[in-house]
Order: sequence, then C-alpha cells, then structure tokens
Amino acid sequence: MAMDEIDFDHHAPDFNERKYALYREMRGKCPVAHSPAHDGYWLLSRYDEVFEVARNDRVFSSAREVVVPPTNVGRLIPLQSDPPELERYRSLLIPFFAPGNLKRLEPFIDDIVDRSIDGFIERGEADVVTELANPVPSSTTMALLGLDPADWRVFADPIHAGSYSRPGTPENDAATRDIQAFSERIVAEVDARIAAPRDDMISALLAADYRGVATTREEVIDLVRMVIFGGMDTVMAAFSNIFVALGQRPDLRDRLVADRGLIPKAVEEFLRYDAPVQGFARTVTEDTEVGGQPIAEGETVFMLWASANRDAAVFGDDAEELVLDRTPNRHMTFGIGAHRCLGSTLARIELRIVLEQVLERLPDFTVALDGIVEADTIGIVFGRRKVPITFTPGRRRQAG
Amino acid sequence: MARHVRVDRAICQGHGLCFFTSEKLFALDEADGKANVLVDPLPDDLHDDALDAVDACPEQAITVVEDDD
Repeated sequence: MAMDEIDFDHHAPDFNERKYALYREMRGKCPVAHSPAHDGYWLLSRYDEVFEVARNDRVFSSAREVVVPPTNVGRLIPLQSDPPELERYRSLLIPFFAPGNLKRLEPFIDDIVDRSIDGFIERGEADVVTELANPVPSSTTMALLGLDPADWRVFADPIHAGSYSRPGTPENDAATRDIQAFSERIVAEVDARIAAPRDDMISALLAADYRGVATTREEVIDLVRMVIFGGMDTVMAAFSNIFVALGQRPDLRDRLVADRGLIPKAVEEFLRYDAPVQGFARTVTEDTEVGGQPIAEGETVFMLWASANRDAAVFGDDAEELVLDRTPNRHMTFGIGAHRCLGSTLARIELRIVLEQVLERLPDFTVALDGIVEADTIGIVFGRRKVPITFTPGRRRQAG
Repeated sequence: MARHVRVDRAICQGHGLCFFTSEKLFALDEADGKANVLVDPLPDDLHDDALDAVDACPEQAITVVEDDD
C-alpha cells in the first residue's frame, strides 16, 4: 500500500547520529514516507506538508496521542485535545504566558541563573546540564505555577529519565511509574487550593471559566501536568544543544561575547538548528491526501519539526548551517497552528537570560566534546544528559 | 494611497512574535492572546517593522495591503 516504505525509527539507538542525513534524504526522495516501525507511521519531512497538517486539526487529530509510541504518563491538555475543547484549554492558559505576566517572572529567573552559576563559577568546570540547564527551567516552571521551586526535582527527574530512555526498557518503565506517582502530588496541590485558594496560577485556573464553561478539577490537574511537562524538559534540552553547538564553534561563542545584542536572533537560530522536539504525531480522522499521497483514516502521521527546520526550500541553501543572525527565521521548533507551544515566550526569556549571563561570566568556556553524554533516545526530546565545560574561574555574585 | 497592516484573526494563534517585532504596531488581546493592529493606516516609519512582522509570523497571518484612499 505504501509507495515509500522506509527504514525509519526515531527511537533507534543510532538515530541521533543519523537524523539530519536521514531527514535530508527524505526531504529529497520521499517527503511523505511510511515506516513499519511502531505499528506503522507516516513521516513528513518537508516544511510545506508539516505546515499543512499541523494547521488542520479536523483531519489530523491530537486527541489520542502526539508521541510515538504512546506513553502512559497521564493526559496532557491542551496538547492532547481537538477543537472546540482545544480553544477553551488554550484560552485558559494564555493569560499566564502573556508577555506582561512573564515579565513578573524575570527577576526570579535572573536570580536562579545567578545562583546556579554561583554554584560552579569558582571551580572552573561544570556539567552545564546538571548545574544550569536543568534547575533554571524547572524552578521557573514551579514558580510560574505557584509550586515551591525548591521541589523541582520531584517532577524534573522522572520526566528527564522518561524522555532520555528508550520505550520498553527498565529505566523507562521506572520513570513512567515515577511520573504516575508525581501525578498524585499534582492532585494534592490542586486539592489544597480547592480547599484554600491562593494567589497563584493553579488557584486562578480553578476559578477560571471560558465563555461560561467552568474548568473542572480534572482539567486543572491535566493543565498543570502539561505546564510541568512542557516547561522542564524541552528548555533543558535546548540549553544542552546550544552549549554543544557553541563548543563545536568557538568562533560563534566569541561573536556572541563581542555582540550580545545578537543573542535573541542567535537563540532563534539555535532553536531552528537543533530542535529539542523532533516531531509530533497526529491521528488521521478521515481518508485524506498529503503531498499527493493517500493516507487512510486511523493512520498516524508524524510531523518532523526538526527536518522542516532544515528545508532548503524555506531556509535557503545554507539551511543546514548555523547562521546566528538568520532573518527571517520562521522555524517549527515550537510547532505551528493551534497547538503551537504556549510557553515559547517564556522559553525565549530563559534562553536569553542564561546566554547573557554565561557569556558575561564565563566568556571563555570550552566544551569537553568527548565528555558529552548523549541520551539513549531522542525520540521524544533531543537533549544531552551531560555537557561538561571548563572556563577561567570567576567570583560568586551572592553569598554562599 | 495608504498602506494597512492586516492580521487574519482566524489564522492568528497568539504566538506574539509580531508584538515583539514592534510594540508600536501590535498589541496582544488580553482575552484570546491574538494580535491587534494599533496604527492604521500604516505610517511610513513603521513600514519596515510591518514587513518584519510579516516575516516573523509563524502562521503567516499578517499582510501589508495598499489601497487608493
């Protein structure tokens, strides 16, 4: 039935090292390809088809699952929802991710970045994943929700363990159990605010309605779970990839040190170049066609953001190169359409603040490229477990 | 001849990139997060901002149009 049956598995052990060559080949030869892995799924590797599918929520549903193979970590909304509920869920979250609200979080982010760098600045070496990329987005996500930032590991550790281990392995099974266990903590936090509302995001979600439709306790639990999943893992992964990219290209690091005004554009380019999420899936709700290829109701379509980001038809002949001041840069790293990442503005703020402080406080950092510890799979999130750096030691900013 | 910035609110998803391109030209609606155009017609000194916003919008929801008014 499939015209282009390809050997593709985004969880394969060698996928990480092959991914960009594979994407290039797929964009050229089979932009709508079918793989027999994971009970069969269609792979979209070009920008145009990804753009088309991501914006058609009626034919390409998110309600069932958006990762392949499905996980068992509890429902995530609005990620796993379709219109009209999608619009309601999104509207409930939008005020908290609006620029004005996020502005209030910036002092918190400045402080956690300061303190994280203080933790290793005198040593002259660090694992930037464990000591900076992990605590910053995780603590920030906790602060946004109104949870105790000090407890970030309760959520972050199991999520990272789940993302970076291959489905079906003991590590992945254990992570899934730990994630199910922390859902009880989310329930307890929500119930505590039902009993006694506070001045925080969870309480506000409980009180919020959309055009007269009240938000249920279960919906708030699933929304909070979504914010935790969306806020912790992906930004950490983006950081780890940025450090690796700068480690491979010290000339780009020097350029950013010399011109920190370039950081916002560079952040976009890093996000385009190494997307932390390779892609998301949709379930086809009626017989359809994508790029001339018939696809049947019930089949799974996987949109490869990371490949669309390197499509020369959109980004030009240098699509596979890092061009720090690339303009325009309409990358797919946050997705596209009604499911596009609601936390993108927050992610950008975190990435900018960390880069500004790192380039100011440890401008000569180098990455021990042979010390990088890769994840076992990048099928859900592409990040690194460890990225060791060395630099000229500096002074702490805050008292120890 | 006057120029106008148009945001197709059926396509806009409130990502806010136009707002960050030009806070003089765009505001984000507090209720649905979608972009509203603040200045119409488009003044010459904001023309480049408008074109940057057209390029920045991930949904391709922004256009600059001309009329004969």
